[in-house]
Amino acid sequence: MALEYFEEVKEHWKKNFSFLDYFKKTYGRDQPLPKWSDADVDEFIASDPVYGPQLKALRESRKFALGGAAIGAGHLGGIAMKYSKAPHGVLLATGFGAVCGAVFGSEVAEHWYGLYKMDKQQANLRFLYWWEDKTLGSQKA
Amino acid sequence: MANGMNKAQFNVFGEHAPFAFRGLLGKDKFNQVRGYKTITQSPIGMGRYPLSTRHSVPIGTSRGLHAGRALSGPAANRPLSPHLPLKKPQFSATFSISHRIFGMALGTAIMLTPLAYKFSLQFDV
Repeated sequence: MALEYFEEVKEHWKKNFSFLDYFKKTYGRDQPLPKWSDADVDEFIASDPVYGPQLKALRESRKFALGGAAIGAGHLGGIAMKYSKAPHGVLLATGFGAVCGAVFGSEVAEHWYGLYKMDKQQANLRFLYWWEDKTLGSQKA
Repeated sequence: MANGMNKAQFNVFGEHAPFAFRGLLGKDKFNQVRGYKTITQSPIGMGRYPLSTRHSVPIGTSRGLHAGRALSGPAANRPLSPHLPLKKPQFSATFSISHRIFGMALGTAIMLTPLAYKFSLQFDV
């Protein structure tokens, strides 16, 4: 009787953490999916009317994050270089500036492209489903 | 003393100023020879390095880490007295620094994990 109750508890928590099943699409594979290129992603963006534009906006927002990281790293690293000649301090300051700048840049992108309205994980997963069907679907059929 | 004399030449100690005040007080024969800037020449309100000869820099502004009294040239590579190779590592000190290093690593890992997830969604696919 205790065993059945334990099984019920396990089922309950499996349901609660069901979002982790999405990671089986990437990490839980026997053989990894063949690597996709930018052209494949563009093909998916053109084909899917709902998730294509979302994925396109997500990819455009990378520039914001990288630009923010560059600005932050330059700013904080420059301050550290000006006021202290310690090399480890300059390195750490540059790294931290890059992280903070990337977060701030992606926050700007979040509002510029309206990324807060979309499910980013879903957009990525839809591409993976499409890619999986494209590469492995032919084998199954 | 004549009225036209520069106030800077007045010095209550005369030539026998305490060594600490040599650079600060008015022109005695030491200052005159070496050209030290004295507090009578610069405003007392802004603290300045008393023994500076080249330029007057206020205390507390931005300077490099080792500016001021750092040597240059061959003298800068002088041997320093060893402490780390000599003192036997004790449990308290070793524990303390390893605790700090582990704490820094753990803090970094904790703070970078959600950031890594956030950027993985943006940069993956």
